[in-house]
Amino acid sequence: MRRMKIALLEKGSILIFAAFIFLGCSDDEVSLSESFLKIYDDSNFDLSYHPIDVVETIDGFIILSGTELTNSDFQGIQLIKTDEEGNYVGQNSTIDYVAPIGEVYMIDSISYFFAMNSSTLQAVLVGVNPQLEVTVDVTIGGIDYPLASALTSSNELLLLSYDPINLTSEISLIGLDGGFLDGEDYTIGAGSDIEAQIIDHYLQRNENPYPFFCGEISPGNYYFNGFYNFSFSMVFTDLSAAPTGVLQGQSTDAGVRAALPLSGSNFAIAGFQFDENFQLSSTALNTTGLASSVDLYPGDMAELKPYTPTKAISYSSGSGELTVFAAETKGRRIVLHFYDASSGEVAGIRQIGFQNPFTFASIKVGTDNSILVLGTTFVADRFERIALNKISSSEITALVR
Amino acid sequence: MIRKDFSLGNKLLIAVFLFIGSFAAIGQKKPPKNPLESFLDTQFWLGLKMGVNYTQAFPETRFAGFSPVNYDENDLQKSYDDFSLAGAHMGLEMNFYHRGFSASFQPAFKRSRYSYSSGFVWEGTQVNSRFETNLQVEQRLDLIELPLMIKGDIIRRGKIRPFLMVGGFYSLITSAQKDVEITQTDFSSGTALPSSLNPVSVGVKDLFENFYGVAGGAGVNLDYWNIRTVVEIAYKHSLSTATKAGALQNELAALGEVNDGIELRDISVSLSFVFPFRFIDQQFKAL
Repeated sequence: MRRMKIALLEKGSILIFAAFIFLGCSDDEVSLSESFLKIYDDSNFDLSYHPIDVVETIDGFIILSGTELTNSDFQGIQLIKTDEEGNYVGQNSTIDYVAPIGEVYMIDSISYFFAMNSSTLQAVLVGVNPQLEVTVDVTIGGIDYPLASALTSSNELLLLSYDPINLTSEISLIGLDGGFLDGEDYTIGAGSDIEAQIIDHYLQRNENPYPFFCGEISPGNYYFNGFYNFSFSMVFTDLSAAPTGVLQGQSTDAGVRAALPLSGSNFAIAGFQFDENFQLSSTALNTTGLASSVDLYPGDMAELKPYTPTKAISYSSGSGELTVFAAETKGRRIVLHFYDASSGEVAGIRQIGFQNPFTFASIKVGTDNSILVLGTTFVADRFERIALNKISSSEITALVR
Repeated sequence: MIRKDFSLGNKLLIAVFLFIGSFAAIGQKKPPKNPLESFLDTQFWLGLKMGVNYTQAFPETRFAGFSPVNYDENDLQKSYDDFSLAGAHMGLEMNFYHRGFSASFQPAFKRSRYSYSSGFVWEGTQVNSRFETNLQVEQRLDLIELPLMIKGDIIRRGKIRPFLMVGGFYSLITSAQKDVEITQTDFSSGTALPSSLNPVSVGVKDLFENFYGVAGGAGVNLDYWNIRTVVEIAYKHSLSTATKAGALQNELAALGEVNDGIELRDISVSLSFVFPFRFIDQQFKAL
């Protein structure tokens, strides 16, 4: 009997030890390529970075950033390449154009974006391969001051620009070869001082950048957010002589900061009303008539910084469709608000940053259904450096209700 | 990121432990039988164990808090202070002894501590455009440690019985705290102007994960008075990292603070007081 007990105890000890080994081997790890937060430091005391957008390539990411130039008041172009884990691989700061704008589009391994010729002020379409070598470099004649761009469903590029001669906001369809396909321009309100504000937008981007953007509702139907008829407004157009509809802002004191077309005339909207901000996960806009953004204002989201950069994306999680707004808080953090696309309710909130200030630049959905958040942080409280946060889909699933 | 080849080392380590265990086994001599010794051939012991430990954090994989654009990532390597901070542990010791060998389960609450430092420098085109930051980090880990050891007595008779032991352990992280002291030196005024920022102290349990490893050591059982006193020194060598790969906490991000892939190694000195489960009467009959 005693021998049996001893044998049982010995076997039990072996089982416990085996359990240790088993437990030790069964950890689930999120790999570095699934989730990371990277800060791209530069030991140059005098440099600041102003990231614009990030695009995923076949072997990592390309970050488009603006940086100071000694020979121009406009921002120069800096491209940074990273590997899949976000580690710095290389850069190209030799592209001799200025004022790069988002977004960056990856089509057939080429990353496209618009910039400006600092001498002629004409828009330029630039394309780089994954090694950051320039493979597309086309000046777009007749289009100056590029302000914002978007990719259409037919892989054409939509470009919002400013025409300083006719004092118009111009929306154009551009082919990937840089050829002008179609477009129309709309008056900003002759005789106003808006041109000076547009120039300031280029030269003082960190002060109060205007939320220029454009996009496609459906093939042939587009929208842009820019100066129109004395106000900063969201304009709906089919590229005919007159807009199909206008969501009027109130001068530059109220208007729309980000828009995401959902279905039909439904949009997710982030707007501003003087120093106050609001987000609507789904609202029907009058795309064929005149309306005012002031009427959309539901109340202030007190945590958001006045004039915060804001963007909105759609995201499919395991629990359903989400609309995600990214903005900055008054506490200088980046905050992501996740809204359930069907109910419109907040499904989750994630903040990026705590001890040090963070600013927001761009948000994208990764090919592995992660979320990429691009911004800056102030290293040692003074050196503005690019920060890229990749949030894995499992983290988002755990975050949302 | 620098990966170090450790698999061969770990295999060698396991081989050494097995060798020690074999040595302990070979070292057994059959004692002459008497009733007391026969009774002690099989015995359960239970008691309290406590002690101090010193930890080495071995960076099995190096990670940098920043991804440098214009300088070498190796410039950001942390400098570790090995076995420099004392920790403590307290728990139970449960031994099952049979013919010179003991299976010993020693669950304990343990605090491990280690420290490291790192530094950053920014320079501009002007002579005075220079700024330095240094981080001094103390990492505290609270663990529930579950070691299972096999002890082999070198001498099986008498009141002083030295032993060797080998085994393995599994450690559960219960909490983790990181204290960061930040000192800066600004040269922009023409002279070095040092300053200290408010220290940052944050819970970092999410940056760590449970780990396991092998252990070995030596000790002596002292059978004086009516208890057994065990003094032992042990070395524990984790075979898995205690840190989650690449996890970076926002609170520490812009400071450039991130964990390396850390394997913990520690040396502990412990004192145990154990009591037999079974008692005997004057006729050496178990009660």
